[in-house]
Amino acid sequence: MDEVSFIKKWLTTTNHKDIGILYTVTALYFLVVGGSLAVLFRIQLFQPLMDFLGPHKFNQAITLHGLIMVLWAVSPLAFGLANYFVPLQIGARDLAFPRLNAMSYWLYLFSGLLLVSSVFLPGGGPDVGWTYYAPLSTSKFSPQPGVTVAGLAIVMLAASVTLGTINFIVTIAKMRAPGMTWMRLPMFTWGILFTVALMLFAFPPLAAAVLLLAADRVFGAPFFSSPYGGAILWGHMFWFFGHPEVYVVLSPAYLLMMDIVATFSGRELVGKKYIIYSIFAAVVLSFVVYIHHMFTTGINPLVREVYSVTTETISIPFGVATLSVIATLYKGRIRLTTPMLFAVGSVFLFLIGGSTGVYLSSVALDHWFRGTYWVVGHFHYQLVGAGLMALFAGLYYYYPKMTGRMYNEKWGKIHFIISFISFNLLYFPMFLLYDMPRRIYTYQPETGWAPLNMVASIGGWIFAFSFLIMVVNFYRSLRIGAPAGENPWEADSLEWTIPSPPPEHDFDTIPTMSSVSADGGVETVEHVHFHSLMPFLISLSIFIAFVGLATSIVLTFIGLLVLFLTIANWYRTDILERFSTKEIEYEAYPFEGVVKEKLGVWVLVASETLLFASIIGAYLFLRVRTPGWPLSYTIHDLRIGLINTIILLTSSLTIALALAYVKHGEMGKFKASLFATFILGGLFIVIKGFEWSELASEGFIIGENLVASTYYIATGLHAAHVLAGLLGILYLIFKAYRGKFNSQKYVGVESIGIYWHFVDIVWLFLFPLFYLI
Amino acid sequence: MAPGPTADVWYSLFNLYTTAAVAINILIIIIFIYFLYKYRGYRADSSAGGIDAKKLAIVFVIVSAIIFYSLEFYTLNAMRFVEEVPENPDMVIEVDAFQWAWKFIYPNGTESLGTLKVPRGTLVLFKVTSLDVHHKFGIPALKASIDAVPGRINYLWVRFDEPGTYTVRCYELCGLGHANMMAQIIVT
Amino acid sequence: MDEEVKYTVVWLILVVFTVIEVQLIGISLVYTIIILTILLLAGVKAILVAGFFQHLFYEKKYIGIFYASSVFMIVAIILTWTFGR
Repeated sequence: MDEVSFIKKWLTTTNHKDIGILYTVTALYFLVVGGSLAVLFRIQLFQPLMDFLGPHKFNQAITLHGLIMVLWAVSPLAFGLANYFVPLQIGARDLAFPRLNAMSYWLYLFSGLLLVSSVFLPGGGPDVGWTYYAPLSTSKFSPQPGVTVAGLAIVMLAASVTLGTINFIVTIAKMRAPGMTWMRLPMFTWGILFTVALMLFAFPPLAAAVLLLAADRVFGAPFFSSPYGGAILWGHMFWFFGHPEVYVVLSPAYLLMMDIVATFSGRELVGKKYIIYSIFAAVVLSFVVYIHHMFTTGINPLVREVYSVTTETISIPFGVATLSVIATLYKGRIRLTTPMLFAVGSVFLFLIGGSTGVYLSSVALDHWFRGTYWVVGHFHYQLVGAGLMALFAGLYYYYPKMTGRMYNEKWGKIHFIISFISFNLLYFPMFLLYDMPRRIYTYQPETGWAPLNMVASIGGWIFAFSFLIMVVNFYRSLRIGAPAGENPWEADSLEWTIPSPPPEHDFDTIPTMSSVSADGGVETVEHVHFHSLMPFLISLSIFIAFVGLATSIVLTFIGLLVLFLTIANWYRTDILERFSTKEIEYEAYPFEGVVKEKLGVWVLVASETLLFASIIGAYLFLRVRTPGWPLSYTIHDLRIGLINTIILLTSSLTIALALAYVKHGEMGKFKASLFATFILGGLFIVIKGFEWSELASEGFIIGENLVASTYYIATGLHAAHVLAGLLGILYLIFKAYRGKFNSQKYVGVESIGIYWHFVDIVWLFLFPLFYLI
Repeated sequence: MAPGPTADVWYSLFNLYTTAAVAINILIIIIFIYFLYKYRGYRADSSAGGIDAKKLAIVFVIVSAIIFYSLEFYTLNAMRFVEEVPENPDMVIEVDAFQWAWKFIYPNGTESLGTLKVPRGTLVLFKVTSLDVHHKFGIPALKASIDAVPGRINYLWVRFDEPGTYTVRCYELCGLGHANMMAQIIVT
Repeated sequence: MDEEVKYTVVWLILVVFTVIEVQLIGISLVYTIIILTILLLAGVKAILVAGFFQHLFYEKKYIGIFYASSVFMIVAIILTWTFGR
């Protein structure tokens, strides 16, 4: 293969295995970036009063370290493995939407590059801590553009995550092989399912919070600098995301560890059903524990007591799951290979991390621990110890499958021993440093913190170095490793029934299951993997546009132009239906007969609901606290609001009718209804623009006060959704005039209709909240 | 002798949690290591192992619920003790946090930057707020701490039973001077 | 066609409810009652749109449950944020 086609292949691939490799390699790259930053600030903390980084560089280093590790390294590493192995584990030949999957990857890569490039802006990168606490992160206290650019990177990542979420939920729900019931799914696939469910509900509030912060920084909208609870509002919005995010990072690794322990114990997992129930309970509970991050803010004691109890409760399901893992070892046939050592090691570290977390669920103890190194030690035991170590186990476990060759076992074990010891040297001293504040760049000799910091720093450097052992081992074994064969570990899930590395189309025949292992196959139509440059181009153009916002507006226009052309081209190829595949469904309970696209839109709608709920929640939060907030009908022209509401309701009627007409084959009326919907939607936007300019001419502009800022953000975000819906309807109109719909084929109309009705429903609440009461 | 009641309460709760955590972890880790050692390369019974997973799960849920909720009971007691704002404090001190120092305002209106003098054994009520960004007012020796949030007054009471000099630090990242945002409380 | 009639009736109810919402502003009643009535009407309208136009009443049960779970989240968010002082 010559050089050009090699590059072209990787830029245009939509094959889940290629994208899995891209994700894994990129995540490892960001792991190195984040780890190098940690090496640097551990030098700064090595001794009291060190003069190595200084406060500004130190704060940037810890902020980027946190953002990169949590959002761009550990979780994407799990998603690299998920891209590769979830389709294989459920017996599918790809994800439900391969091009969207490529889009997720490229958005992820470019968002990470955007984040890292913020360091080179004047004033440096973000230096406010990865938690972005307001009002420190507002323009008044941190005016440098790096903070805004990093925020934009987070929004871009949230888009990537939302697409990935939809993709995995639809894939796991709809594309399982015959006989692959829910309870037969391997634990790793369960882990990814739980993770994407968490992401679906956790990322929209983060995106909303960052959007409000961006409005704060760009337009001067005073959300988080409001003296009436602005700082507390950030806490609510951030931690509503932030706590579930911990489980987002942890659960794929934790459940992958269970698969590995089961394989190397030579038996099935004990009480798999109860583990799944337990983790499900933990996923639900994880949304009602986040106030424990705000125990010291002085908010309502009753709320804190309730959340303290729920936080203690969440330890119980994790205890059940961990106990089942230990019970699996009982009378097993244990083989202590490298993956097993890492898996077992991660359980040890999870026990310590979990126990120290119980302290933090206690309001009275957390009063002190909040903001100290105890917290740092605790969450590194969870995210690095239980999370990353289990993912390393996964890398060793799946290396033979992905490359077809074995890694060097001796060096694998050496890696485990060095990393396990140095990990504890690095993080255990942090528990003993429970008087030392987090995120201080220096400390005085008389504090007595020096010896423990010295140990931690040395441990940290060794831990960072030990990572290289794995990289070198993997790199060398690519050429000299012994051939692995199909199933080197005698494991019994589906990915081990096909050659290593798997062929392009994965399965020759789709496997059928009557127990947990495959026992036959069915013939299906041939699967074709498409190539498309558009996901790459769209992500690149967004990246350029965002860089332009911080440097030169010309770049933004170039980016938007490329974006527009790419989307137009995407339309063209879609209308020609070059990418359509035939859909076959085997095991799809409880969504039998629900077409993939439609299920995908429902998932998207659930996520968007949370986005608007967060904006409305922020509005109500500020409104009930701010004295003298005027009643909405005294500001806005009720007639315009009423007319616009009726217009939008009518457009919902017309698109609902369009679906009915196309189902009955009345194509003339169908096209007319689509056209009417487009006109009505356009009219809504035009009236909105007219209304905004009227309001602005009366001095009611964003940034003026909270009343105006909340109004413009909420209605502006809604208007953006109307515009997106209009793009969808335009697509339907083109397609309808090309004769691509008939009484059998109308899923596009149905899916975009669902989205359009959702936008309508949002307005049904925005209208009373912002115009009437 | 502990320097004050808040530290007493905190340390006794901390010791309770530590006792429970160490005991449970040692038990689990011993079983864990024993299994790993005993069944290494073991070839007898690779199918079931004879464990009733349902019974195991139920027993564990009940046992751990008892442990966790009794710990929580002590937590809530301690929380009410340290959070109850005293009705008749001996001294009310306003604390204004700002980038990057602490200002103390005595009851008579005198302001002091970075130093506070209180007599031993007085019940001091701090009214803590911030003039700019989110800070956290913490006295390590007393394990007493509360957030300093702009636009909001939080209450924290302490009693210094031992004379000496106590350090106050900021425990929430507040910008470039976070590490050096300290103050002294001199107890005579 | 049945749908034409059904959808038009739903649309009429939606429009009437909207007009009622606007008319409620300015009548002399306790303001809390007015707010609650308006929000209740908005909720009913949302259910009508979701149920009939979005076909949620005729979909698989689990899609409804899925959607309901996000609505549950919204209630959790808004109540905790608004009243967690």
